[in-house]
Amino acid sequence: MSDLKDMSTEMYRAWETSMTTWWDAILDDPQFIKGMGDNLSMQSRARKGYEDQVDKTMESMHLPSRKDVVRLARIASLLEDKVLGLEDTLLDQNDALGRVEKESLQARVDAAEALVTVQDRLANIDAKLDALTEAIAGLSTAPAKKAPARSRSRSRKSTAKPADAAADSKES
Amino acid sequence: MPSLLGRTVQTAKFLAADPVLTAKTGQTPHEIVFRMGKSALRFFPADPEVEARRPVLISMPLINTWTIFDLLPGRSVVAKLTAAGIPVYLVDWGRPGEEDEARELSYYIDDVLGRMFDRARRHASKHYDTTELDAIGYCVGGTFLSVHLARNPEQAIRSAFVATPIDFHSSERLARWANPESFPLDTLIDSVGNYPADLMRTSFAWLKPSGQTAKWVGLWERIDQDGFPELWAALEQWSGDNVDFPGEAYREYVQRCYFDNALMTGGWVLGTQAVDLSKAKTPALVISASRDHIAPPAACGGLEKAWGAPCEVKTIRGGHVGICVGSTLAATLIEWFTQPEA
Repeated sequence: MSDLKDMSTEMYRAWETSMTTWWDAILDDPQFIKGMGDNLSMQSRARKGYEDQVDKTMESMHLPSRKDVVRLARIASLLEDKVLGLEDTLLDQNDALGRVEKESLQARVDAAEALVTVQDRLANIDAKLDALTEAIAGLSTAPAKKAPARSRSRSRKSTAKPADAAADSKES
Repeated sequence: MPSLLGRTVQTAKFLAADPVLTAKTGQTPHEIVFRMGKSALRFFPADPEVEARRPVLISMPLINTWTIFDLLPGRSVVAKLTAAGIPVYLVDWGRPGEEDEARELSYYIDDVLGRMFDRARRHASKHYDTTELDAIGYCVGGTFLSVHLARNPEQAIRSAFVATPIDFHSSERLARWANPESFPLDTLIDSVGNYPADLMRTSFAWLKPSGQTAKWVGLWERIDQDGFPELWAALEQWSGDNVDFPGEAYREYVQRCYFDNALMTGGWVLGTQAVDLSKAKTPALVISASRDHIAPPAACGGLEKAWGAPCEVKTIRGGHVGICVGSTLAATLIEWFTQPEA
């Protein structure tokens, strides 16, 4: 049985090869191609003639023709185009709003961060001021003990200057 | 191994249960975090047990549903990315209707992708505390992503382009078909408005006619292989579920990419700004499939020549769709997005 199948397959292959060669010669023949085109042209004209006739008949019976239905569908699709155009605009506006929202959020985050930085710096300045105040307070108590020593040294120095020496001599 | 008859009966039984209609794709848990017109931004959270990585935004092709990146459990690119800790935001373009006929290509490349990146970034900033994203583009979704990233290099840190055609003149048969001499682009769009999904499906089927029989033979041959029939049904459901390509956007796409090959040669002004891939600053990984007949490796490799930032090229074994359900693609993407920054 398998031999019979193989034989039929072989026969088919041989037939297919010869048919393919035959078809190739026909289908690539310029005259055949021209004839096919002419036939197509004739058929499409006939179809148009038939459809026009159907439309005219419908019109004469005051019934909506295929053309009327197509016209309505075309208006609907043009309207849809306009709606899509509006949708595009809305989406673009939404994108722009999203960008503004994102930027304003970023600006708020930046402002909050800046505030924190300023507060930190103020705290630092405060701390430094406190340290300075303490230092000044420490200084204001220290000069009371040191002042006499400074005047002593100045009197020691004054003895060395000629003008002061003259004054000293007048006093004496 | 079942007999020839047994295999045939098994295949017939499987098909009788209408598996293509009942296949459940897109099962990885996710939520829609943003809607714009028909488009939706689907969010697949990363596995909380794994260290979260940079989220990635995936731009899926406008001509199919998004579920090819989440086809079945165990075959899901998004599930593998989230398991590796990569949160996924997936751009599902939805099903454009006739009211979208007049939408220009710049609406999809600049407005929709721009808003998807914006909302994914806002969502990621709330949930993952990051505003950085990576990006993946698959097929036409990758072509759109390449233009968007070249114009807005700040949108992604890294990018990966999976089976993404850039050098359209190297798209082999598709490029031969989509040429101004034979393809009635203006007549078609002026007549039918949106490029119809059924025409898209038929065109892809005719690109490789042998694929139509090969898929049935493949099912018959592998009907007893564990998980294969389910995968086959899910792939069939997905490949049969094309969506209409908005007319004016399609006109500009085919004119600039297929007719002019403007991503390689320049001279394309989309909206009010020139398209110039050399202005890209995002490191890119180009992943092409070795047997891709929609975006062959040569067409994907165009990015390496045109991209203004470092670009690495890898080729994975498989076809345009097959690489999405194999394990190599997810592993390659995870490796690319988790490698340390240069």
